[in-house]
Amino acid sequence: MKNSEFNDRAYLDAFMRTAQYLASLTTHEDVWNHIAELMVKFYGADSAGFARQLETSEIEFHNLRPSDRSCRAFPESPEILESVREVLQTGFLAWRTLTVFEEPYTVVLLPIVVGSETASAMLVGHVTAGPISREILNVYLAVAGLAGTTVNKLLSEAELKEHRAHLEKLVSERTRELTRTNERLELEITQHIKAEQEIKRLNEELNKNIIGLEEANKELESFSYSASHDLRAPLRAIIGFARKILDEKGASFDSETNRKFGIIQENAQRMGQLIDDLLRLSRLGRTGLNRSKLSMEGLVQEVLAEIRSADSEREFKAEIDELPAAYGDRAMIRQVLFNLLANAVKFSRGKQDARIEVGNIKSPGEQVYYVRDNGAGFNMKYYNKLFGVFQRLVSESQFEGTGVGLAIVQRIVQRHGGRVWAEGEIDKGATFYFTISPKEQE
Amino acid sequence: MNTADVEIVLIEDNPADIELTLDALKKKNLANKVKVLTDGEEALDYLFNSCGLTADRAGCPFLIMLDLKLPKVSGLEVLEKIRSDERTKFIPVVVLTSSEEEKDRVESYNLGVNSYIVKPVQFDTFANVVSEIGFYWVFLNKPPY
Repeated sequence: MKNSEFNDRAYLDAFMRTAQYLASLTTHEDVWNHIAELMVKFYGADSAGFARQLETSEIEFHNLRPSDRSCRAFPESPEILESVREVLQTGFLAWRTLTVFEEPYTVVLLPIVVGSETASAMLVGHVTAGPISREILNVYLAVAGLAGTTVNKLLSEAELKEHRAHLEKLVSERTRELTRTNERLELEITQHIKAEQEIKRLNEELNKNIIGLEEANKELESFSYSASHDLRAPLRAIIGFARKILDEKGASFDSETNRKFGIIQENAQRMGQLIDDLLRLSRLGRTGLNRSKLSMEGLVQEVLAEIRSADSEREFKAEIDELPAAYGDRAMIRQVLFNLLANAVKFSRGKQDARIEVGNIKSPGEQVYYVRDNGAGFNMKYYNKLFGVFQRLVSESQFEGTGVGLAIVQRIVQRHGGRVWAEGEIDKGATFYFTISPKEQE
Repeated sequence: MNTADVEIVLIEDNPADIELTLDALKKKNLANKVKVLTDGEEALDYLFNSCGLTADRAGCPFLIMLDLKLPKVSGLEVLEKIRSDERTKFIPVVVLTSSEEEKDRVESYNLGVNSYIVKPVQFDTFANVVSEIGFYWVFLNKPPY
């Protein structure tokens, strides 16, 4: 095929083969590699190759064909270099006729557009003084266009492939991660379910215990109920019938028989008192607390007045400090103060200058109140028996009492969330302390 | 004893308490007009048979003294039945019991008791209380009929 003669069929044939060939390529490097080859083989060019601008703005020639011929002179030719820059810059084709060889040599430079920019210039050389016919130039332009499109397509495909691979990698990584997370979650869920089952089991157990406790409580209630009823009726009979005998036959009794009857009655009454105290103690556990703000000073004054009026002949001195208000059940706290003050009065009986002190100690988060007397006191050795039910540290003949008073004090204070303790010394006196919250709680 | 002569019905199952109660009532000359019934069922039978719906309620006692702990029918049930029957609903009922339990007290008043007395263990106090109650309801109180 000679450049001067344009043969439609031959060029069409060459172009079709070029297109087929390009369609079979898989990488864009192949395009550069083979196009130069094709230009020489199919289109009768004497040389072909490419030039592109590097990042350093130098022009690099590549894939020059045939390697042993004139195209080796391209890089050295300032005219070619100039045209390459021109084509890359403008995107238009250009040609040059070189005179450095023995025969005139015409080089056509064609823009190869990849995407939106002119990526390269295709150089096609013919041993002719030119000009190259318009038809041939059009075919070359078409080849350059096809090359650009193919490169672009292959680049896109490669990019897409890379993308896909990246995505696949990402997906598989994420999948692995998800699988791991799932496994962990499953494990956690299993553990959670186990924990829930355990909680359920414990709850059921707790409920059973509560039911058991409720039953025990009911039993206790019915016990104290019948205690109040059944234990008092026989006592009433003992006291009543002893009295009847005394009323009917008492006149004929000698003093010894009278004394013995007195003992029967006294003891029966004492037993009545014990039952009443015991019931009061048991009731303390069952009645709800009705809390309000209490003036402790007012309560102490009230209780002392009651104690004084019960035995107006008894003399003692009472010193009451300023007492902070407390938060509690009025009736119950009054009972605490009554029991402690009555004890203080009772156990300081027979003392010269019997003195009772009521005071408070400030400590963080709680109020400590105390009741002190200078009476009989107690031996700290028996401290552990002090707050026990029916525990007495002194004999009945010395000081009367059932031994429930301090147990009641302790029960009430504990129900208010407080503590109670004491200090004492024989014949020097005793101090009873209790704490109670100054503020509303729960 | 003719039912018309009965002034007080004592519903109590403890023989000692019965005797002590009668002793106390004797002081006010009321003891021979007391009908003693020892269980709840018997008490209701007696009351519904003797108490007619005549204008003056002839046969109705002036007072019922009622213990709460009774065999068969409890005192509270007896009280409920008495209060819900036209023939007996106005008869004064005084509960006389050993129980200081709040629920007994509250329930008795809910059912319309006239008075609630806890039997004192002390004989003197007990005797005084019983005779005073008898005297008050039989001689001083005016019934609606």
